Amino acid sequence: MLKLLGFLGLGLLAGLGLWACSCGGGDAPTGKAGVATPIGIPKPGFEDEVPKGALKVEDGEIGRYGGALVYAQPGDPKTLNPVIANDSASNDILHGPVFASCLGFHRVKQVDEMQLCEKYEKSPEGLTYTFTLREGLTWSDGAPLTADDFEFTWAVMQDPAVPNSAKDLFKQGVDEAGVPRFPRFEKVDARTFRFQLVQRDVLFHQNVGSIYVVPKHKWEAVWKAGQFAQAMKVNTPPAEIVSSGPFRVKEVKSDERVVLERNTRFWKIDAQGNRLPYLDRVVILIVPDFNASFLKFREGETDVLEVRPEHVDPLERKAAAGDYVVVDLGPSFNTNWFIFNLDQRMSKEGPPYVSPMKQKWFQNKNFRKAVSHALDREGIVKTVMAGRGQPLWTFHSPAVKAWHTEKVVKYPYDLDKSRALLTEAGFAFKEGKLFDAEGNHVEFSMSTNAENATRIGMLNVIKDDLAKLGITAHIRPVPFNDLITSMRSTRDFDAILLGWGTAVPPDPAQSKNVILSSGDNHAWFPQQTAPATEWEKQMDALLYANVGTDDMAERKRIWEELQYIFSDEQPQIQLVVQTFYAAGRKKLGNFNPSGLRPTTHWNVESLFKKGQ
Amino acid sequence: MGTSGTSPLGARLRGLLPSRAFGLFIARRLLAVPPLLVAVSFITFALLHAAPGDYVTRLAEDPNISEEVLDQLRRAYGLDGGFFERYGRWLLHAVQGDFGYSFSKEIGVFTLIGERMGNTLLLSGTTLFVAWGLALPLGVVAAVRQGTWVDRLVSFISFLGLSVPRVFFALLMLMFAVTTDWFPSGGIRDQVNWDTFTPWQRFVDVAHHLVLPVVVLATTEVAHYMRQMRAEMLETLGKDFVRTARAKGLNTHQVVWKHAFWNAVNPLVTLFGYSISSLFTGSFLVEIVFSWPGMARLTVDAVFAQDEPLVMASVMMATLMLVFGNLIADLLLGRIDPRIGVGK
Repeated sequence: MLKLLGFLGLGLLAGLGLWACSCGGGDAPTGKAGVATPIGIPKPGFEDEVPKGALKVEDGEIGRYGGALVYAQPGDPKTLNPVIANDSASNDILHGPVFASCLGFHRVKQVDEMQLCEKYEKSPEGLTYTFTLREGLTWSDGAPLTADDFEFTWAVMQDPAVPNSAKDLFKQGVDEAGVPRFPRFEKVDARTFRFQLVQRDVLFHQNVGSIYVVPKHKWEAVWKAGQFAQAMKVNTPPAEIVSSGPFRVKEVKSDERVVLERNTRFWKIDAQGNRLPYLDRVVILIVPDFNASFLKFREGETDVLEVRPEHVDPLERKAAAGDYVVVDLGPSFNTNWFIFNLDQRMSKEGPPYVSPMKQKWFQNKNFRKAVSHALDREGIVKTVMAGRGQPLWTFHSPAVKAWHTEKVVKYPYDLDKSRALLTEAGFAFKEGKLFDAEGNHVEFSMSTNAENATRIGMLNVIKDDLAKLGITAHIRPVPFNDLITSMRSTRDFDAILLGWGTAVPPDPAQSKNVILSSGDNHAWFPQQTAPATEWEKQMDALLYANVGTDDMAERKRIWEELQYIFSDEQPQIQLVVQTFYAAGRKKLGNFNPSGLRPTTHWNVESLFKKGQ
Repeated sequence: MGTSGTSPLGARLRGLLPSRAFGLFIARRLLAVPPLLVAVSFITFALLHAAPGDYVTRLAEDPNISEEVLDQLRRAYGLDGGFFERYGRWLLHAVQGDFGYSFSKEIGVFTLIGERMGNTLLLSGTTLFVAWGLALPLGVVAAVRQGTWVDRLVSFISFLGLSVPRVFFALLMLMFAVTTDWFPSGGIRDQVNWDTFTPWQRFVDVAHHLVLPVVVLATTEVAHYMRQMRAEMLETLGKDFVRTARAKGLNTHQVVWKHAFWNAVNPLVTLFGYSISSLFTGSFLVEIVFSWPGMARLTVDAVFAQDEPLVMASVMMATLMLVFGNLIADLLLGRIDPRIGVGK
């Protein structure tokens, strides 16, 4: 008998022991936060006086205090350090909700908006920028937030031991020795700091807006000890993460949740002078993927959802009866495009990256135009995006209000035109197949990343479309990492279908990496030492001219000119943009989603839970 | 070992200690562990190396991250250098007990694994408990009532459990949870209201979240063990000593539970040992489907992100669990069945 008891007992003990260990893990309930608090109490525990220079948020309605915003996010934050964060899971939590910057970009109006800074001044020649911080700003621990903190953050960013991508934005060409040049930082007084630029940069103020300042009093010693890259990790005690945004970190539990609680010293007020944020807490559920986010929203566990195209129908069907709304945000900011490999260089091993035969096809402008005319973009929208999208002709998505233009060459689906263009370019059709002047059948492969079903779907449509022209195209799905390696270094591809996301703010200056012939992401032929073609030379010159002036009308005119060349040459065949949707509970006040991240809660300090 | 002195205490201790042969057996098994770990680590490292790109490549998705930053990161993570150089570096640190930091989280790999292991063990431990708790009695009942409707029902269920693929079953259960709203659609607890729960509410909440994944995991196991138990029991019930017991006039209950059961359960002890070794990895797929914050998501995410140190450490842990699970199985068998001499 003992044998069995011992044997079952082992299981029993294991079971009970584990129950205990898992259940005791949570933190003790606190008096202030959580559902137990009556919703709408007039003054939650804000600390200190309202800062003198507090920012008044004029848009939206006056909310009420209390409650929590709950949303799901695929993937854990990797770090709580806003300087080294370089993944969207971390950025979405840190940049804005927890750490503030000097100035930002209004996600719906699409205009600059001041944040920690109350103003900035630019010298007439555009080489000196002076920023003034609001009066009375403090960190969440009560220490004053001053120009010293900006000076410290700037020094940290320049430290080679601290890998960060924000630093790249400030590069101002290179000196004689080829070393990148950076603007010079200067602290003027406690509330003022200044940058001396080497050359003009039309987006400089927005670059400063991408500095998420970190508290000097907290991290200077750590940085001096060479430990900054390891500071503010996801297992750092939350109390150490001193914040400047509307919330501070309360708990991070890997693959479970991140909880933010109100920063009781936040420096924004609503139109009536009530201190923000309204919400007590933000609870971010960490889920494996977008399907899980969708399930959580449908079950009523979360308040907002960035809706994937495949989830629009099931949500809209129930929206009338449900307690939520689905908002059509118009075209997404993310573009989808198709490129041929226009690389003319020889590979390191000797032979050219692209065989001379294929080079002849791809380099031919009429060939690219013919292909563009043969692509049924409406068909892609119908079959791959369930009708939720539109053809794309411009470099930016039409969602980018300030820079959209209709003055481009468009390529409506027209096979006759394609055939005419190809015949003109010396190609010939024999028994329904397309041959070049030397009698080679036109056949190539098209790559995209295998993980993305939408992109594979687009390639399927494109393959059929090209077959109608007598072109044999093979679909080559490869892992994302492989694709990037192909595109950036090994250059072993014929054609690639991929997409670009958008930088904030969307501005021609942000597309240097793609448009300039020397850019890393000038994907059809990157990192050129000198522009390979006349039109690339023109585009380079136009982009430099565009970022070399502050005159918006002039910038817009130049961008239109550049767009026209871009669309006429078709080095990057623009395909389609999806329609973007967001969903939110009706009880969530000031819900005002945008196509720019963080879609559903960019105005998290103004969101509130309506009364029952 | 146990050779010192003849004092009463020494003698008592020696009695408790395993025999010399037993010690040799364990020593031999343990000696085989390091080469095994090295071999497994080499293969894992080679596979990771063969995969295209590395941890840093993925960051290139952001068009604003320059090659310079990527190279800087590569140097920081020690991703520069050839395969043997990097594997050598890893091995050198590993034998000193330093398994490094996860690339993606900058946290020591065992801190990360430690956080998750509790959750995985909770799930697999509960499953183990439920599976064995159901399988043994059901198997016995099916054997005793051989050929009746009870036996047929139990057989039917077990065939179902064995033939429905686990992933499919898990997805079905998830759909069930979503459509009925009776169960949560994954996760380990109510993340929103957890802070306001009393300990008892917390217990109930976690139990509620455990139901579906445990049902999915236990179904296959129950089916498997139950069929085994039924077969063993049937064989035992036909043996002479059982007939003797019956002839002595013992009632069915005594015959079945006091005599037959103990003999029939012997071979299953080995199975039990093996199920310990699968505690760590057996619930992988189900953890993913039910968003269970355990080892599976940690490891799978690490593989996709090519977070080398984390993948290596978690593979090493799984290998160790397997080795020790098997060892325990063999030892249990040796203890329970005197006919099997360990170490001979």
